Amino acid sequence: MRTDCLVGAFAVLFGTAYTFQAFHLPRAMIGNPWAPLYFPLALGLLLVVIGVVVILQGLRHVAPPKAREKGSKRLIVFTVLICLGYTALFDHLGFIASTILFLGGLLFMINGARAWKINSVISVVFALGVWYVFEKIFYMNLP
Amino acid sequence: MELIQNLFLGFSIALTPLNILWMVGGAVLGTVLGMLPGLGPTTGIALLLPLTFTMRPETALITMCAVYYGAMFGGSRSSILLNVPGDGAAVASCFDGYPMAQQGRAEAALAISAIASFIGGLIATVAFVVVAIPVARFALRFGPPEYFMLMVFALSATAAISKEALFKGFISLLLGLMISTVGIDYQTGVLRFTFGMMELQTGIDFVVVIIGIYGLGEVFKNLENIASGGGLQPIQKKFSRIWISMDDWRRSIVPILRQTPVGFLVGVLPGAGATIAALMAYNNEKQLSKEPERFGKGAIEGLAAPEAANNACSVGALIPMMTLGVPGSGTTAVMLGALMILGLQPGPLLFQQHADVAWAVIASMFLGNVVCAIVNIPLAGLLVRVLAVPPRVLYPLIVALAFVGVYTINFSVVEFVLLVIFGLVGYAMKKYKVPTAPLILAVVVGSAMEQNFRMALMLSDGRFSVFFRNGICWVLFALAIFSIAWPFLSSWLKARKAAI
Amino acid sequence: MKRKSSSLLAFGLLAALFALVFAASALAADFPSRPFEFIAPGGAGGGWDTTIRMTAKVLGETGIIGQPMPVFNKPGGGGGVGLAYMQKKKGDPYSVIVYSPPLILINLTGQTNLSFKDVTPLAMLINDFGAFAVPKDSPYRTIEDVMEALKKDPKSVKTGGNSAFGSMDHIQFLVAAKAAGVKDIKNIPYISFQEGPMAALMGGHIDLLSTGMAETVGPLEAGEIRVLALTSSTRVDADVLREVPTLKESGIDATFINWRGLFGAPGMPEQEKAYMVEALKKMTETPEWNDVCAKNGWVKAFMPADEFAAFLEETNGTYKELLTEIGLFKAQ
Repeated sequence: MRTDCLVGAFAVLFGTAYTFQAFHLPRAMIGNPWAPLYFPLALGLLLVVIGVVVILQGLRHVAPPKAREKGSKRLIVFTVLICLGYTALFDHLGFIASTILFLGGLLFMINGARAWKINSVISVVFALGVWYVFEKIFYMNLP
Repeated sequence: MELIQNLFLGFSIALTPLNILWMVGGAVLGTVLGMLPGLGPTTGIALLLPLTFTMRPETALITMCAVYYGAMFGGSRSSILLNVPGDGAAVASCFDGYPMAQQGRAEAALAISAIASFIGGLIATVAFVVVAIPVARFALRFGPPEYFMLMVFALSATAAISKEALFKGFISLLLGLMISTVGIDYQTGVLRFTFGMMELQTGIDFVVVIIGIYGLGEVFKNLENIASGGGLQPIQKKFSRIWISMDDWRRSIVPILRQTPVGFLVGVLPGAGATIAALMAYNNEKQLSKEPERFGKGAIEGLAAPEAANNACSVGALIPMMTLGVPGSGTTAVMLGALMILGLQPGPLLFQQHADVAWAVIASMFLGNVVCAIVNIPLAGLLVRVLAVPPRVLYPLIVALAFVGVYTINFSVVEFVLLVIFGLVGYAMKKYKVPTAPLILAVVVGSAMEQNFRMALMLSDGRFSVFFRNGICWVLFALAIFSIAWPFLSSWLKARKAAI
Repeated sequence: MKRKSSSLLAFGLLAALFALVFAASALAADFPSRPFEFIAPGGAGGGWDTTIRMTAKVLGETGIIGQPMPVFNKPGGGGGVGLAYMQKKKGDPYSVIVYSPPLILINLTGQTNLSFKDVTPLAMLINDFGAFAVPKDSPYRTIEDVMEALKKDPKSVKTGGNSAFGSMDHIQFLVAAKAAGVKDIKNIPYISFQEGPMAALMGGHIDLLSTGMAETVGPLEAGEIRVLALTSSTRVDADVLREVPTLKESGIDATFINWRGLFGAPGMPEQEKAYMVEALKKMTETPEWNDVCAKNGWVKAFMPADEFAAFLEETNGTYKELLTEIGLFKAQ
């Protein structure tokens, strides 16, 4: 199956990168200098091996070609971008402003601009509500 | 007889109007905190600490226990309705709870979750009364080698659960263990995979991982559907009573009864925890089931088992704290601190010096379970209406809620980035049919597994024989082997039966 | 109970009224003229969090400071995240953070390149002390027995604690071992349990537990463990701990103080600093503070800014020497 090969290939690549990083970890300054490295190194190598096995398995099973799933990744990409934007603005704008923008942005994109009234109300109510609950009831302070 | 007398004493102290009021308040607060991803009983108890200073000791303890149970009841609400587990203990409730809700059986799912929690909690409380002290003594025999074996067992059972994707399950497991290697290495002080970021020094909090993989991953998957015009219709419009049918009950009762002791025993071990209990219970039921293929597609017994186990576990976790003065988890550690502030010293002497308080608390565990069940069923009737919100509005809200929840873990935006990454990982895992349960459990136990392995070797001056030093180790080892072999064995047996 | 809650309400109202009056009078002076930002560099419910929340509570309730003092949590990096955060507040007199020995340790072990010099010491508030405990059936009757065994073979006693290697529980035992004349302190096995070190001790999985004294009270009272020594300079005046000798009494010239104190942002202006030191001094003299300390088992130990800074400098030297000896010191 093609998907299995992809999963296997990812495992091989990630395992290699991880092993490489693990190899360059600082050594322990006391006792066996390699002590903190054994476990990560073993994990990395094992992942490579299992990745190869999964690729081989995938090649062996020639599955009938599946109908491609419909759907686009457009919304996912935009959601990720909005999330990262939120991360960047959060500490600067503070919780309320950035959350209104964040949730508003998501709603406009997913729910559509035509429902702008509902979208705006939900964003504002959510941001203020959460802020109130945390600040006044849980005594947790948000920026 | 003395036992019954003591219990009567306990009930007579616990059943004052004021105590009942606090119990209900605590149960509601706990349920709400448990529902919110990222917040949990520890937050609730820390929050109540200043209030408890002015209370009588038994009232304070009763309130804290109520928060604790409430959170256990509440944790699975968001798992079932939104696929966003409130904490580790509620992860297993996603597996069948969320599919049930998607199929329009949310009422039954919420009801069985409360019922199973109630039964699990109640039986465990009885067990608490009867066997607390010997069980706590037994738990002390668990040292690093035994914990290591326990974790090996838990992991192998989870990896083996999806035998059709055994190797992909191992990939998932290894990724989870890799995530757990991020942060400071406790035995040597070496920093691993922190890439110079101080926020990563204490490791990646597993709540971020579970909310990302389940909550955000599910939203991403559904966004594909919405992009092609779907998602206008709510999942459910009409709601019926929060209750279950006779058939549901027949399917669930045996799993509840047999997984409760599992949860209870795991709970008693300091440092194991409810996530292990719930996942173990789920695995056990899937392996014991005659129709394991129904699991993960909305099987009610797959929800009932972990729910019973995680509540039983939370009762069990109070044992080492109450009888030995040894906290077994973050929450019980905070409770222990609170007790000391109240001038009570938990430990064997608690039952001698403050018998009234101790028994009042035990009585309140019975009452707390009843109160939580009563509070939760109408609450569930309200919550279930979230499914009437069209997905196009619901999903943005889930994303925002996930971000808020994650922020309260470390109060840093580094978690936001991690959340998005794990969301994408979760989406990819769903897409490529890689099982997620092994990853989650590996994140939870990974660090402890490695540390216990090395701790055991340090204690034995490097001799590997320490891992087989006693019967406990051998039993756990045998269970680990058996759990990997069982799925194959059972299908072989079935095939043979069919052949005959 | 009913009476209690209504009197509580009255007390609350009174406190609020007080706070209002004092807020008004504080407005006359120009500091403090806006709310503070109190920071706990750890999570809710931990030692740092409790200390600063209690401080804020007493300061507010007694009206010593009229402005609100909300507490923010900045956990991570063993306190390093909080330290980095304070650097962004340079010269701001409204940011106050709480610390204890890890402030020094995380710098020396290279977890962060910031040190206690990158914050402004305001005052030490409380002390806690370390305790060394053994299982009830341990062959070691006194701390000297332990040290003798270690002198013969440093690997013979498996020690353990809650914190990571090179952190507090580990260091406090090494301080004692070094003072007792154990040569190879580097080779003493120290096992870090992140959960349940007390259970590991009671189960006999480790030989000696290095921990805080409060943690030992319950099991000690119950006869589950024996506490061989405390790291305080004089005996601690509390229940069962009264019976436990100090290291000094056992012929080991060492102490270890788990201090907790408050710090301002780097470059805090002198006038505001003086105001805060004075306010904290006043606070530690109130009955409310006594009450809080008694309930939490803290030993009151007020030490004003300059003295505190000198103390930190000295402790830094001691720790640095120790960490160099076990090879954990990382020069910045």
